[in-house]
Amino acid sequence: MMATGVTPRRFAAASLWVGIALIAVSIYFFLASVTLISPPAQAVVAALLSAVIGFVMLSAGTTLVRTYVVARVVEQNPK
Amino acid sequence: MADEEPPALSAIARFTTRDALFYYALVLPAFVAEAVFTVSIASTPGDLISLNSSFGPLFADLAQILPVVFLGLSAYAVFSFRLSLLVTLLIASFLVAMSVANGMSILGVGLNLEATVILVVAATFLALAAFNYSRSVKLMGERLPEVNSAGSAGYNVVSIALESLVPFGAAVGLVLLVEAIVAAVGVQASHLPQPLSTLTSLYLQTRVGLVFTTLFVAGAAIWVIRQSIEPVILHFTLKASDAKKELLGEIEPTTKSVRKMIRYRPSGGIAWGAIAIAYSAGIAISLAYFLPHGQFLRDLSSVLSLRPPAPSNTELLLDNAFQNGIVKADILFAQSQDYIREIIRLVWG
Repeated sequence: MMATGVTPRRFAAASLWVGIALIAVSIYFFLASVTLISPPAQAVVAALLSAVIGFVMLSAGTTLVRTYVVARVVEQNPK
Repeated sequence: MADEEPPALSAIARFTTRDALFYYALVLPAFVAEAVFTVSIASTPGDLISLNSSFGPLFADLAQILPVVFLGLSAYAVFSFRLSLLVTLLIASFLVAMSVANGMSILGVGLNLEATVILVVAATFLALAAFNYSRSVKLMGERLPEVNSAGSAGYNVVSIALESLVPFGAAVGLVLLVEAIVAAVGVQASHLPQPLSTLTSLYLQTRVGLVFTTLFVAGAAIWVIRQSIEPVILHFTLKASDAKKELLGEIEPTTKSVRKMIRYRPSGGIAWGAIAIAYSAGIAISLAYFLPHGQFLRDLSSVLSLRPPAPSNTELLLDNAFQNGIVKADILFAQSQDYIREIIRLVWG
């Protein structure tokens, strides 16, 4: 079997894109929370819930991106 | 030939060098802010002192020495390079002053909440700059730093902007953002369903509520900024060794729990048997000690001969007392349930 000479990536870039997608969704929820309290809308409770969902999504997304960045640095310098 | 050691400076000379004077000038606003806050607390302690309380005079005396204590601790923080202590004292005096003092002024000019917040933020940033400066002076010693750049002028501009203008702009932007969000929260509170609307409005009308809301919003904004910037900074600055430490730190809780599960060995039950025997022996000894003379032996012999023991007069009295207590507890429990139902009906309808 012929060796390709290319080291397979153990940490997929999918985590980076999923993290970015989660951050984008969190921004959507933050904007939605602003829309929900902008006149004439007065859905304050729904806006608060939307902001909380945005914070959770942002936390998850940035954690994924951060872990991807750290793992990539380790992968590039295995020794 | 060995380099000649620089002459040792005296204690006074060490604390009055040009660098030291610059350091004192940078931490001076924090001192001034603390003095303003603590003096206002001491002069108008307000709700801090309740004259009817037995501790009222004690609190009055403590309020009078508060400025000296805070400024003394701050001086210790400055000379021992403890930035966290200085900032903690500044924030603590600010919070207490906002909560209890009836008015603050500096050089005869009254300070409102916005001016006070700006004073605290500016003093904190200057204190941070002072500690960074002192650290660089301590690290460099007598050596001169290499600050020449071989790059184009654009790199120098970007470098200066990143070091100075961006943090300053971020701080100003943060203050404006927090002010806007807190104002929006105050407006939106009236749209909440009752009784949350009234409770939130009353809370935001108090100075403590306003300060805590401001701190909460500022904390959330800083958290969002940190979460967004940290991966980018890590991407450009992280070394492989530090990255490995980070990853090991992330999986450490899992590895610890796995190691604990591997090390776990179920016991043979001897310990629990010993505890049960000790518990039974303790109960038997207690009964023999507290029951009337000979009662324990009579009851024990009755149990062994499978005959019901005849209760003594004392036992009958105790039994009645316990029964009455149980009935009383049931009545109290039912009454407390009625009270809670009434409160829920009043609050939520």
